[in-house]
Amino acid sequence: MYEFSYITIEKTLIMETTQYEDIEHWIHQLENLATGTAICPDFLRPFHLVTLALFIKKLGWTELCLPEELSAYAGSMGLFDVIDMAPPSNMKKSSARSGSCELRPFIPETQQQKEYYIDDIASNLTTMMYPHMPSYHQNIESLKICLTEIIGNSFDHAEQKNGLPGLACAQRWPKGNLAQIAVVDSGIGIRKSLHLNEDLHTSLNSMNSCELASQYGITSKPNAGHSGYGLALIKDLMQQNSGTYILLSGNELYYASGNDQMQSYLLDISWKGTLLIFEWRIDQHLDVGAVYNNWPHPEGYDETDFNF
Amino acid sequence: MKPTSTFKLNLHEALKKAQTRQAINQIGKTAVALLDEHKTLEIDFENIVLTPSIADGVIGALAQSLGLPAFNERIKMKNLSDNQKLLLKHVIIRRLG
Repeated sequence: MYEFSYITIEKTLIMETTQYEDIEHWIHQLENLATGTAICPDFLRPFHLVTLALFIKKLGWTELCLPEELSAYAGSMGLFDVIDMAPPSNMKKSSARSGSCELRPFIPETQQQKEYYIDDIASNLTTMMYPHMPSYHQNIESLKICLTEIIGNSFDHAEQKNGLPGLACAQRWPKGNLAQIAVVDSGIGIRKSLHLNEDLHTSLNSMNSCELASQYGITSKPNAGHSGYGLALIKDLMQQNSGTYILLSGNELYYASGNDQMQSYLLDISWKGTLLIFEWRIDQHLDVGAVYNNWPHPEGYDETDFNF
Repeated sequence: MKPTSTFKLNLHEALKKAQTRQAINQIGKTAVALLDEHKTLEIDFENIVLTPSIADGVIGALAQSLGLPAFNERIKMKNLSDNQKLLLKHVIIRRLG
């Protein structure tokens, strides 16, 4: 049995945003699971759950012991279903708000299911983030575009050897006016993926690959339905919203928050695959149109060149 | 003999069972091939969540195959929102560049 020890941290009323140190610390704790020295935070966010689930699934573990309160919460998010474990027999009923959070595995068994899954997951997670909130139609449209795009990416890049190519998890905290979505896969990772595009080799030699991948128009497969806009779109939306964007692959991490905080980091621990976290203020704008308008306007073309 | 007909492509229907990159690219290839038999292609965007990948895989592929003048002449798009128009312009210019 792999067990977390439990530390209590005094909760604050202000909902703090996720920082890169939180990710680095957590990946260390996952590695510590095998030795029984892992420390579990007292507040789990989607990024904790997706990485924990994929980590356990990859290693094929059959038992996991979480602190009782977290076990109830993780159970309500569907953690034990995703990792094919029975929930603990003494698991308390969760106090988590029904419908506000869920862990969604990408486990299609056939190509046909795979095609349906992307829209299904994107639609459900979007609705969970803005339930019965039609006045936020702009945010809903923007979020659905982001999720459809990024889940499609995961399907394309993830390995499926463990029967679990990827996971998404969403959680909203209305009282904290904050929401987070985390998407994780166990694929080849950003650096190897971008290396497939020879035009990027020079940039990759001198840059953090996660920072590079987050730039407008950067893609591993140009002119093949991979426009290189997906990650840039999410990053720019989060910055527009004063939210947070974190991309981790291997030991490379890129963090962007608001308009002035952008930083690349080299961690002392690696995640095999890719983890994307985006966290935003629920009541602030997510407007794809404004992002498209701010993207570079190529020279030599103007509005009259198009008939639409 | 030059084709004279118009083929109407409902993108929402086409994408209902096809959302992976592979499937999107196949729709793009099919759309390009349709222009061998039809003079114009009318693409309906109603109810579409237009992601960058769909825009590039379908419309980008058509623009690259035709070039901008022929694209403007032969591809008619309806029910496009202002945001979708902005994205398509980025995608088309990038493909042509």
